[in-house]
Amino acid sequence: MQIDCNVLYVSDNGAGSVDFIKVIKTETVHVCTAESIEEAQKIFDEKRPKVILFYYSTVEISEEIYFSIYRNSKYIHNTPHRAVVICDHVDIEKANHKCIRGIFFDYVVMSPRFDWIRVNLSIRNALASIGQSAGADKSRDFVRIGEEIQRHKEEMDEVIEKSSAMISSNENSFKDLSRNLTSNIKQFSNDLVNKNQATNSKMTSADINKEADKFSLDVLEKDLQNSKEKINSVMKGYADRLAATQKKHEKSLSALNDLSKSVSKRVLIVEDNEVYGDMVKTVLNKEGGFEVTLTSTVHQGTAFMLSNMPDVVLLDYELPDATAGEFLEKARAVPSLKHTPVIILTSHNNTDVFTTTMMLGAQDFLVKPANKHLILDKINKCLDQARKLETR
Amino acid sequence: MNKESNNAIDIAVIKGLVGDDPGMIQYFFNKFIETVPGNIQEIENSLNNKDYPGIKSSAHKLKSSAKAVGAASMVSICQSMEDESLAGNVEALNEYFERLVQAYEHCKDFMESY
Repeated sequence: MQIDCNVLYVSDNGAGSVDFIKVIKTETVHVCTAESIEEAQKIFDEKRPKVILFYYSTVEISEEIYFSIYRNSKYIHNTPHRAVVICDHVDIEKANHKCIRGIFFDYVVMSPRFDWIRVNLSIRNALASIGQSAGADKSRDFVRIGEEIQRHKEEMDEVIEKSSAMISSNENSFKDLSRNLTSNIKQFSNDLVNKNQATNSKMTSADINKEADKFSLDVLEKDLQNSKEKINSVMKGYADRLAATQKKHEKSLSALNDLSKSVSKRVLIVEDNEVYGDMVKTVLNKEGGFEVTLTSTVHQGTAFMLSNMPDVVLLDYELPDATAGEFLEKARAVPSLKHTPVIILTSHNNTDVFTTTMMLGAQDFLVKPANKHLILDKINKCLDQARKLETR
Repeated sequence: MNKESNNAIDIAVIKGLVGDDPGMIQYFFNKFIETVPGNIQEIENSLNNKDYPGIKSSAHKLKSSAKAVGAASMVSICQSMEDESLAGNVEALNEYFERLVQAYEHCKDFMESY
């Protein structure tokens, strides 16, 4: 599938956008531009770009524009993306601060002149950070298989439609044959009456039998036989085509299933203890095949959640900058994160933990350090539950 | 030294968490040795400043790392420091601090020879 836009450039500098596209466009980077919030939001919802580049006179305006798009877009909340801000050198500190806070993924300084190489590098990093290169292949595979399945469905619908038309047309031809038969019988009967009248009703039963022998159903039988053969042949063709399509369809479904299994689930760990956090990250990555991100504060965790939509969150109960409750409150306020499973990591092994977990709206809890089997088991259970919720 | 048993470290804990791979265990032991001195320094600073919430917070942080590697003695001392910091008992805290440093040295010896 051709990617038609994976980078959205939002700026009020209309004339500059044309140059921008020319310079930025590469084999893997496809840029579209927007000059207003409405336009940007519309393009985002239609094209779902992976990177949004903002270029306004100040970093604050870029941030404001980004938030406005965020508020108005239907899909931005659940589409992994990165926001990059292009700024003036006087704004470096602010831009850096906003990157640290997780609002922007990166910033590029535009003065004294545009550093195109730096812009390209930033786009590449942004794309790579959300697994664009690996993910894009998979997402293209998803689209390809989806298109195949749609094609198979259309083929099967077509065959079924043609079969129905065939059945209906043959019903008509049987009706014709039946009408012919009735008409022939009537004709025979009239002929017989006329002949009988011509002989002053002196036809004997032997005469009638003789006339009856002349009445032949051969033609009708032949017509019937022809029709039957034609129907059989056409219907067999349809049945073969249906079976072949069904086989292809099953193959596509199986490929889709395999592809779904091969897509790593993403886990966000919010844990301020570096040693423990790194251990859990390593285990989940190596043993569970998860794509894991470790953040150490509620602030970083929330920022990551908003732009990356992890499948599961492991949340330390005691964090330095805010409580687990505050994290959950922020997460649950975003519709697309309402049901993201959150597992509380706690050092306290007492009965209150369960109550607290439930009160916070988390799915489960783990008492640290916990063994790897238990951690993996709880994550997988949460993912299963989430999958069931999705399919309802 | 017996690699699998030591008073300072319960090796089964870290194995339960990261598995049996000695390379992996060594990696996390090294990480522990790299980060703990900073935690101990934080506790000492807070202790010198009689910053009890600071002591509690740093001891709690260190307790998590100690738990993860199975350093049971350090876990127990950190817990006591958390409790004593609530009571503001400087004498007890100083005593526990000394024991904490010793316990860490034992753990470090074990980890370095693993």
